[in-house]
Amino acid sequence: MELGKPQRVYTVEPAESPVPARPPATPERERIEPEPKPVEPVPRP
Amino acid sequence: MIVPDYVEPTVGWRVWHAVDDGVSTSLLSVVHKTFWPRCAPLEATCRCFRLSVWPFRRTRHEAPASGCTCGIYAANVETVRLYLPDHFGTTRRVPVIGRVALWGEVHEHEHGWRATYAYPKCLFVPVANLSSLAAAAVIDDLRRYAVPVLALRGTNADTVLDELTTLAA
Repeated sequence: MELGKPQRVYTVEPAESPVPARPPATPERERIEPEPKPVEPVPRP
Repeated sequence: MIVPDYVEPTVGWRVWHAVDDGVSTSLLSVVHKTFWPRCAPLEATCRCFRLSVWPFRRTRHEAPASGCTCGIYAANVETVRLYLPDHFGTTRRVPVIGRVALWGEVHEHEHGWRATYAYPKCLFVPVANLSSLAAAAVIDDLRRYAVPVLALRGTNADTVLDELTTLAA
């Protein structure tokens, strides 16, 4: 990313953490597999 | 004891890609392929010294450093616009735009900042090109960052930016 010319340097120590607390564990997203197609009967010769 | 100049994080804008990391959808930096951790700050490291073929190798240093390009980047909206596709249907990856908090040592530039630490503050997902199922899955997964995640309906960079500046105001 092109930010252009440097202007100044400063330090930041946040009074409150910018990182939220980890939310309660929830199950990972369920992977939905397609249902298997029914096998068609092979016609007898 | 070092007294900081500010106690409020600097806030800028960024673009990521929403990418399946094998478990869930995560934020991936666009330039350096860095996955952003959930509920933990991303810490900058300088990668310049790793380029062994580079004839003017830099010594290892903390990031960001003056005279280097290292650090976690964020910029103003006008600069972020340059990194968005004109039409969202033209890209395979899902772009995510967001506001990001920066702290630690911050190098301010004309159009943005480079910092030691960063964490997203809110995320915006352009969903016009996604099925409703895919959009819901991406938004649900990104909510694991524990920050607000909003859908944007615009189909091109200009309409999306108009929408998100209104939402972020």
